[in-house]
Amino acid sequence: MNETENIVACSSGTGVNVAVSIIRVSGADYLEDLAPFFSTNLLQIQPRVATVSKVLLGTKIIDEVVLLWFPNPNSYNGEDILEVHCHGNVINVQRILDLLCSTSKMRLAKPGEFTERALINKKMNLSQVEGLDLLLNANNIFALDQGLSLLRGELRESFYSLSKAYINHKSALELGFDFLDDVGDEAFNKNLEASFNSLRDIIIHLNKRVLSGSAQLIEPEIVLIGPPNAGKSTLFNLLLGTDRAIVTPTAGTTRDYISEDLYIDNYRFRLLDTAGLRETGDAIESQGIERALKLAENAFFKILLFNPNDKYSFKQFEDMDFDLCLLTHSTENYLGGNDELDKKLTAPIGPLREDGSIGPICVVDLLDTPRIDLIQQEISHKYLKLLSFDPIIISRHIESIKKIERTFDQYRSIFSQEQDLAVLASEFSTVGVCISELVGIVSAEDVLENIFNNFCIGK
Amino acid sequence: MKSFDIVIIGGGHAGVEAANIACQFNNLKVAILTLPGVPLASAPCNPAIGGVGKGQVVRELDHLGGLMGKAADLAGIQYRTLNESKGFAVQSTRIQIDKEAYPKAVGNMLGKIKNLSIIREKVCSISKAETFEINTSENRYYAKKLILTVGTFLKGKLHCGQETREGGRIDAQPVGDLGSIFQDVKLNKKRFKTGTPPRLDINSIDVRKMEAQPSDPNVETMHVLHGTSERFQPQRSCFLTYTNSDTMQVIRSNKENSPMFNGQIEGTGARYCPSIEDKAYRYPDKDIHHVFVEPEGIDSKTVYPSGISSSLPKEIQLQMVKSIKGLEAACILTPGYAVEYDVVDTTMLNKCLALKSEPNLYFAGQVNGTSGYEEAAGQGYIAGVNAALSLLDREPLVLNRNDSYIGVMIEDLISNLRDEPYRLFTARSENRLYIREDNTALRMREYRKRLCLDLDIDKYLDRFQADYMFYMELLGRVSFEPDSEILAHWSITADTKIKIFDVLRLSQINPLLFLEFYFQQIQFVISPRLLRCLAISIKYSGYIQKAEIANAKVHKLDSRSIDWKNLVDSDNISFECKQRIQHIQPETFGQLRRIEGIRQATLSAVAGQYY
Repeated sequence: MNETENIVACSSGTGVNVAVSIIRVSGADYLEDLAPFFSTNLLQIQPRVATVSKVLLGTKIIDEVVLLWFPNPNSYNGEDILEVHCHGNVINVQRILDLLCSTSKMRLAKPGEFTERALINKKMNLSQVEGLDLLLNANNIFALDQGLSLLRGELRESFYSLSKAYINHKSALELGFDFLDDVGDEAFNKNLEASFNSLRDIIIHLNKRVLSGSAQLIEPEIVLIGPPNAGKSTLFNLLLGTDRAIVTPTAGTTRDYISEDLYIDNYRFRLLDTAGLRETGDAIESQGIERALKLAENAFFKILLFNPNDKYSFKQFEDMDFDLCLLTHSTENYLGGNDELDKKLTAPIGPLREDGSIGPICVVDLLDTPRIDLIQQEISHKYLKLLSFDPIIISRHIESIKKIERTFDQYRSIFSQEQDLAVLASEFSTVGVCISELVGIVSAEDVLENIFNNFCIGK
Repeated sequence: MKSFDIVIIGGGHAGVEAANIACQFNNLKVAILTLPGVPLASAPCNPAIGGVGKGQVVRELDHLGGLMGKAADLAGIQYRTLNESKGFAVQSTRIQIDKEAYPKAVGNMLGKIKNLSIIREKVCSISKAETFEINTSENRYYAKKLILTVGTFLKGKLHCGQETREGGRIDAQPVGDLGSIFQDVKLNKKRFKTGTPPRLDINSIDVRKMEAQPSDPNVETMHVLHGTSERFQPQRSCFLTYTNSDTMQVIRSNKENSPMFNGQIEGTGARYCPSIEDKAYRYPDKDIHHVFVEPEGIDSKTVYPSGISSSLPKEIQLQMVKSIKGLEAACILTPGYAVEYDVVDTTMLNKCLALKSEPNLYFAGQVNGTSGYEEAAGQGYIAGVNAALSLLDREPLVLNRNDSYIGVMIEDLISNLRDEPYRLFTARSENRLYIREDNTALRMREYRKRLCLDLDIDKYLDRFQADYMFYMELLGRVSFEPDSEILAHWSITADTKIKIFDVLRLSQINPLLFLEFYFQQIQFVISPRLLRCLAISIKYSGYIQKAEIANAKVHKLDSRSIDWKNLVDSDNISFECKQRIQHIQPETFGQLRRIEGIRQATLSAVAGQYY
């Protein structure tokens, strides 16, 4: 298998009739084979110029198409690419694909094969491919943005600065072994400290971006939680604008959670209504309660609802943080007397934007004046704030960065105490192994290169 | 007409090690062919052996039965441990040598070898039929194996100001280029350049104005069969002084006179060993640079001012030297000069340093683009021992990069084309905590054993290993109950018994001092070399283990053998990568990884196949 295999696929999606579909051919030296299928002379096709042509099955015209020719290396994946813009009827697309594959040197592409070739031909790097994947499969604007950012190499840039800081600190250590005579103790120490600090700052910053960018950002969940009959399902329906959940005056109507997509300012959320929390002998209900608590634990946005007029035990909420606490029903009759609740309500009542243990509180009587806009504001505010941290959401990156943070933390704990520079360097190399998983392998030559370029070395 | 098994051309540090080890196989007839008038293993540049990373190489050679350590001791006039405060793993021995005594010591040792001939004739031509035919100005010789250790003599060209002449060294006659001798040996496209400072008259300098660096009597001798702190020469101090703004001004205002900067020299020098011109022009803000003033011998009239290597015209060199504190009245006896020379493309060599296309021809030393006597000697040993083993139809001796600096160097050399002279740095090793001076015996014993020789060094290695095992087991087992005074003195906190092994690993403990103390307590007498090896090995055991685990994945993958031919045929690899792979012909993933310019995608693809 020495020659590049030529591949073909419909790049604009199959299975649905659309106005225009794009069939892409990738490989090398295939124009001559494909020439009989087109009315224009393929061998003289102009690069990057739209060319109208008929598709021929023998002498029969089967479609009229626009061709775009991207000769290597200036194409998406570095190979010769021919795009056939044809009518997007599913049967039509299939017929053209069959036609192109009828030459012996052409086959249907495997999933991702175009991009794989882009990776191999260095048209893209791994993080760009990851970005493309994110972009193509994004289901919200944020994922779309990060996909684009990866594709443009921005995220890679910030990893590059990590790599640079790593090389700088490693160089600073190496200076102490091989070149101490050249730079002297004072410059050595100063450099070691400075390079350590800038590496530490970069790792802390990256880690922050990871923490704020938990998986929740890709599929952010809003969980409604609270005692039975507090009005969770009512709020659920109000937020959605439909009567999706069954609402009755009977406590314990919702026994397991139900969920729906909810769009706020074009961001997609998953809204979950959960079983009311109470002591119960009902096995199914108690299982539902357990699930509700678990959901709340991992949720992006937690809304606690309760009726201030009811007497509740708040034990289950004691250790939980909420983003929003809603007092449903009228507060007029609420005279206090519930200690646990009183403690949580010491903050002034009203919409708050500060981070507190109980989170912003607003008092809403869902039946009288449903301030849905206020609730939506709170949710999108939190979401936007997280986005402003530039979170990292690709799981490979998250894992790597967490590992880097962990090993660097160990290194940090000995950095100021360990007298033996060789031990320090050895410990640091374990950080290096983790960093290389994210940014690629750093060789001894890279480090020496850095030293020679930045320090006056040599007797 | 004379026939030899092995002929070595060049009697420098590489050549003499090659000859010495080959001759240890008694049945082989070996000859060194060297230029008349040039002493064996002379030191034309720095009068010192060892240094960071290099000290480890000298000890590795010594334990492998080499010459260098022994000669360095016999000629040693100042001993120092470098990096003393930076941790045991990176401490290295450096010995200042007497320039007369060193070649004499080597000459004496080689002179006693019965199966070695030293022939002082200039080689005129070499041809290869069944065997190599070497024509000198006077005779014709035949050799089954040929080792070229010709240093800087390949098309060597000397520069001192505007004066240039052919030659590899200021005091020796020139030889021709390799091209006229061998058609199929490829040279590195770049010519290399090195330089040396002017030599000063010892009576014209004032050392009272400089900082003295006396010899350290506690540094262990290089050769293990010498007494640990034995000294064979009277000891001398080196002196430290500095350049200043006047010095740099002289150089900066004479840029047009510098062969390095006016285009006269095309070769590439090493960035880690810059001339004083380099320093002046590349770091215009820095005027103060170290100058180590090193005596070149006990009775020598000359000193070596390390740090001011230069190829400026003589009179400017003198002006520059005189601006330095303590050198105001200095006389230059020999001016500094630069030499440009051809080096071979080392990626054409295999792990035995033989040419892949002609496995009976070996290259070692500076001709391979390395710098330093130690690097040259290490290569000479590898070429010599493998030429011998090959003649005896035995397995080659390849040192692993995980347990020796020689192994690091050989692999680095053959897996990459260099664009500047190669020097060993500890940074080049992935396993620095283990490749130390103190445990060289443990590291080299296995290799030496494979040679199946039974010399004094072999007996020493066996004994060292046995003792080490015995004491290691003992220290891992025994505990002691320290009284409060001992606890306080060593700042240890302990309720009852503590294992010695665990005490040695405490961060606040100097393992050397503590182990010495412990053996005194239990009244054991143990050799200083063994004590050192035990103490440091235990101290680092935890860290080494940890680093091994962290690197295990990389190492495991690195040692996987790969079929480069397969890669070249593969259609998943870019054309450019294929070319590099074809050129280097890597045998393991590690070698592939170290080839410059191999793409991450290629590595991922290959790693995927072999995981």
